[in-house]
Amino acid sequence: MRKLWRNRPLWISAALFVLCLVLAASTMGDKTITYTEGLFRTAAQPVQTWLSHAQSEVRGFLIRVFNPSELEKENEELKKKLNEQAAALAFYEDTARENARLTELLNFTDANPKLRFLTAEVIGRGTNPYIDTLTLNIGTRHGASEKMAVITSDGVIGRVSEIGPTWCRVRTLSNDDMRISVMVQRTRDEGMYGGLHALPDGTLGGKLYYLPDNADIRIGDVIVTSGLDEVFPKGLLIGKVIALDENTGAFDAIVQWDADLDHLEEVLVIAPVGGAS
Amino acid sequence: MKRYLTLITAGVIATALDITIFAQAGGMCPCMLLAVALASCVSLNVQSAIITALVGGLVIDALTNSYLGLTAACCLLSVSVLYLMIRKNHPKLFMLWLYAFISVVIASPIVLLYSYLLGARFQLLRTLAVEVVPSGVLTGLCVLPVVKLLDWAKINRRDRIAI
Repeated sequence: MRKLWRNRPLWISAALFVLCLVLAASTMGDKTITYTEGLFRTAAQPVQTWLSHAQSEVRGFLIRVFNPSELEKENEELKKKLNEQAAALAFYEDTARENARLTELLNFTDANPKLRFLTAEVIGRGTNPYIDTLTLNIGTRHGASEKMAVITSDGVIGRVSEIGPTWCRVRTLSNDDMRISVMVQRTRDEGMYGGLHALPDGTLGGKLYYLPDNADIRIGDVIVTSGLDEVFPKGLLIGKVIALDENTGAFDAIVQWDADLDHLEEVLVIAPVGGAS
Repeated sequence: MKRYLTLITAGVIATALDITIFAQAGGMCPCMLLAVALASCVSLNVQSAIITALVGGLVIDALTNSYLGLTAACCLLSVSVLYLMIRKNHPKLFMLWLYAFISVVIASPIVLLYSYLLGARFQLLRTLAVEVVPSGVLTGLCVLPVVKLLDWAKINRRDRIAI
């Protein structure tokens, strides 16, 4: 007994280890966070924002000191990105107006095609390299809510999985449990995007399945959201088909997403007008 | 007192580095928090290492991950493994690096298992070879300067002047 007591740091460590594992198991996955968890994460959010800004400042300073041409290049890229986003925004607004007119004409009273965009800054990335999560600096106070779609001008990024008053966490397309109702842009065949598949060359892509038996799908086909899942509005770009499954029958094709998930700084969260609280 | 202030400062800097720089780097990077916890286990005592691992791990998970406690659990396991290996001896640099490396590699499968349960898909052998082992090597290397720093903080001022 005395020998056991002598090892009490180890016993304490083992007990804490088990407690932490239980805590991790009870908090993992997609779920509504508890009040305490939300309070803790909301309190931590200003620290994270400060760290994110400090990192940007240090990075900017180092770039200015060691590589001024890199700064000019980055500036050009940002301008280009801004123009693209403005163009995308104009396109979406135009489509929303057109949809509103068509809805009125067809008397689809239950449809809600109007969308609004919340601009958000990426203030954190998950430290676990195998689970791709982003933390954004907007939350319920800004009108965001769970399951809202997150996009950039390059296409869909993911959806909001957890949310607090001033922050939200996004699970990206590169997570295995992501499911999105999609269609092939060329043929309008509808299917489901979801689950990851690694090609022999190591390229990771999302699986496309539930396409009709007679679907004519080819490598290079563009995959967009179909809007049927009521999370992602219709017509948002997911990616392109990079491989077809002709042997196993487990899925129909592999889609490589267009958005660069590793280098995200600003994103748009799509909120239905009046739908968010 | 000074050694604990040094440990707290090192812990805060390590957590900030893990959240900002190393989170962007992906899998093949050191875990600075773990390095500080292991170093405090070697240089100070296992209690301080446990507290560093627990608090730092929870803060990292709260700030960046969709779960709470996994980082802390891995750090605690690593600290316990290292404590079992070194007990009360202060090993030489190479052995210290080797022990730190082993303790990191032993704790990594827990992260892999939880990530798998959360939906991550990876090739196990490739991940071990390309991410876990290099991460262990780098974390082990990071332990060494932190041990030196904490050893330095342990010496009182008069002795330092004498040296």
